[in-house]
Formats: sequence, C-alpha cells, structure tokens
Amino acid sequence: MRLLIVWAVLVAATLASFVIGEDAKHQAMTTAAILAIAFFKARLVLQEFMEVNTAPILLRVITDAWVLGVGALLIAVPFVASR
Amino acid sequence: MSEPENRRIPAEAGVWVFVISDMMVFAIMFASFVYHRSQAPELYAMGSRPLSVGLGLLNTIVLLTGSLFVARGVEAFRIAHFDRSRRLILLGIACGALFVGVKCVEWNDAFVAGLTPLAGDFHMFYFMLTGIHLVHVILASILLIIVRNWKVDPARPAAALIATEAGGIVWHLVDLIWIVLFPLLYLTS
Amino acid sequence: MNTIHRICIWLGLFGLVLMGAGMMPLMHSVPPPDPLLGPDAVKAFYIDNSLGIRIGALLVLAGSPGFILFYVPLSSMMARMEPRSWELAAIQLICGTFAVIPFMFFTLLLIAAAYRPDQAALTIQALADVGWLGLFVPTIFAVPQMFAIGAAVLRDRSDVPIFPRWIGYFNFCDAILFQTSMFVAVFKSGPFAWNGILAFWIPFTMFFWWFIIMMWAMLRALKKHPVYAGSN
Repeated sequence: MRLLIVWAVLVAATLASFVIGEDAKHQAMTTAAILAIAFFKARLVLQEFMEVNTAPILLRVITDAWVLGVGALLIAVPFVASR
Repeated sequence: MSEPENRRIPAEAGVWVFVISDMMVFAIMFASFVYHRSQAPELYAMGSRPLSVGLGLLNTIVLLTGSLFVARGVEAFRIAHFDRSRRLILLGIACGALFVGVKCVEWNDAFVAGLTPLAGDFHMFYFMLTGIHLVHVILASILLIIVRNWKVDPARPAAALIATEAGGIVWHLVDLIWIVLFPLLYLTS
Repeated sequence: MNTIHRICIWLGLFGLVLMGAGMMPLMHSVPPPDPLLGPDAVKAFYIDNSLGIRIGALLVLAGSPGFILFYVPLSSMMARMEPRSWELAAIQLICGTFAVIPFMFFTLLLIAAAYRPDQAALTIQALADVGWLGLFVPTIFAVPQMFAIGAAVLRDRSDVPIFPRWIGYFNFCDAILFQTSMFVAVFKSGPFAWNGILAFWIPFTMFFWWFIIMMWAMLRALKKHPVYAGSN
C-alpha cells in the first residue's frame, strides 16, 4: 500500500513538472522549480524504493548529500555561469 | 542520532559502492550538460524543440511503474511468496522492454528528421546521455532476468535474497537517473 | 607459483610506471592534444617535441606487456575460485590482452607522426588521428574484461573468498565507466572528445586506481589466502 502511494506521488509530481514546463517558457524560475521537483522525486525513490530510509545513517547521509549537492549544483549553474 | 536496532543495509554494501559511483558519474554528466547549456542557451533551446515531450513523459511513467512492480516483487520475495515475486519482477522486465521500444521510436523519429549526434551540441548530449542510460536499462533488465531465474539454495538462503534486493536496487537506480535526465533534456532546455 | 605471481604483479606495476613516464613528461600527452587543433598546430606539437614523443612512445610500448603479465596471475586466481571460473578467467585474459594491443598501434603511429620534420602537416595530422583513435576506441574490450572479473568475484562462495566481494562491484563500476571512451570516434569537442572528461579523465584515472586496487587485492590474497599462504 505504502509503495502504491509512493508511486502515485511520483507520477503526480512528474505530471506537475510537465505542466509547469508547458505553461511558462524558459524562465529561470521554471527551470529551478522543475529541477527541484525532479530531485524531490529522486530522493523519494532512494528513500522508499531503494529502502535507504531503513538503512544505516551513513548511507542516508551519502544519498542525501548527492540529492542536495547535485540538485543545488544543477539549479545554480545557469545563474552563476551565464554571461 | 542513535541507530535503532533494526537498521540494515539493503542487499549488501558492495552494491551501494556500485550505485553511488554510478550516481557520481551521472552527476558529472548532468553538470557538464548544464554548464555547456548555460554557455549557449538559445542553441540548446532550438536543439530540444523537435523532442517529443510526450514520449519522454510516457517513458518516465513506464519506468516508475516498473519500479513499483519490482519493489513489490522484492517485498513478496521477503515473505517467501516466490511465485508472486517472479510474476511482479516479470512485469518490471516488461516495463524495461517497453522503455527500450519507446526509445527506439523516439530515436528513429530523430534520425528520420536528420537529427544525429552531430546535429549540434544538444543532440550530442541527448544521444550520449539517453544512450548510456539505455544501456543501463538493458543491463538492469538482464539482471532482473537473472534474479528471476535464481534458484533458492536451501543451504544458502541469504544469497537469493541479496541477489533479488540487488536487482531491485539497480533497477531503481536506472529509474532515479531517468528522473533527473527527463526534465534536464525534455522540459528545461 | 607464489613467486611467479609476485614477479608478474610487480612487473605489471613497473610497466604502468614506464607508461606514465612516457605519456606525461616525454610525450606531453596528459591530456591528449585537442582534437580541434588545425594541421599546422598538430605538426608543431609532434615536430617541436619530436624526440620526446618518440622516446616516450617507446617507453609506453615497452611498458605495455606489463599489463599482460599482470592479467595472467589475475586469471590464475579467478580459475582457483570456488566454483572455478575458468571461462571468466579466459574472457578476462583474452579481452585484457586485446585492450593492450592498441598501445602498439598508438605508439607506432605517433612515432611515425614525429619521425620526419619535413613531412606535410596533413599527413602528420592523419597519422596522429589514427593513433589516438586507435588508443581510445578499442578500450571497449576492457568492458567484458571487467564484467568477467566482477562476475567471478561475486560467484566465489568459498568460506574465505580470494577477493573481497566489493572488488566485484568495483569492477562493475569500472566496466560502466569504460563504455564512454569509444565515442571519441563521433566527437571532436566536449566531454566525449578524446581530451574530454568522460572519454579521457574519468576512464583513465579509474583505470589507474583499478590497477592499484587489483594489485593490492592480489598481493593480499597471496599473503593471506589458504590456497597461497605457505606455498612457494
């Protein structure tokens, strides 16, 4: 049951990011919002499907660091690197 | 933070060495894509226009659904419902095959439109990133086939559980990568 | 058996050092010259440093048999695992050897590129192109090699396995990382070109660490594993 709810949330988040992407074209904030949703989904997959939520702390720290670090990097690069 | 008694690492630690290295490699690919895109956003926007968001969306749902089947398959395996587990994992493999089929349609459309990896920087990244991911989908599906045919050895019951959990984790990893790849290529370029 | 194993492993490391010495200070080829360089710039690269490139290439060539020496004890250990991984040991040795052959073409072609200072720039560029493509494209042979090692390590179900299990997963990682090198055939710039991060830096750095880690694992097995410990 829990897995089914997780799946439904993931599908809903996918559709939401699709709708956001369709509505406003190519604005920095839209991109940031879509990527934030993507990394939220990534974390959900890690926590629930890959069962990191019941794993030792070290694994949770590493995977959360990946989600936060890579997510922040991808969102920040266009703001920092664009001329 | 103290560790509760029942914390355990899914499958075994080595699987996670593999999973995290793969995630790091993809992180480098994502970052170099985003960096190069930020240097020429108009070029990438133009390159991404012919992409079918619909097919990308379909494939995202296909992989997520596959993940649901596989996760429930692993759950069933743990409570020794082996037949049910094998059925669910078969559905996961079917999702993998469907993903490959949709990707073939998508690539074929691109080739017919004259869009090859040399059509521009966006297409270089598009074909390489989706291509490497596609290899992952195929390998993960093969791994699930192996896991599904794993005979439970009464002398070593743990081996089959580790194999099944490892197969599930690698499958979810492939899903996880696509979850980031889809918005990067299809939605935000 | 034990002594021959050790000699092979250390000669393997010696070969790796020779290759590094040839590539880095002598050939100035870490990273390789930009694929986008025009014919005249390419000619300058090979002719200005003509002697360094030729001597460096000879060192690379001289070091390359070290890999084969290194792979023989590795295959021998795979064949001693329980259950015996004969087939995987053969895949490891043969694919590993095929992945060494490119060094022969690579060095010969770069020596030829640097050989005649009055050679036309376009000819030098063509020789150098074949040389570099010939080094990168066949790295795909490392993929089955490393998958074979990984599979053998995970199959080993004796009470004291010859290699720890994480070595198996580590080999899978490396196999995945080596997939991208062959695409230098398609790209001249960006991460997949032969001076790019995904074609050059990551696969080749990882190969270096793979070598060091496999060396450690083999020496450890020779010292501690019941099959080897106590025999000479």
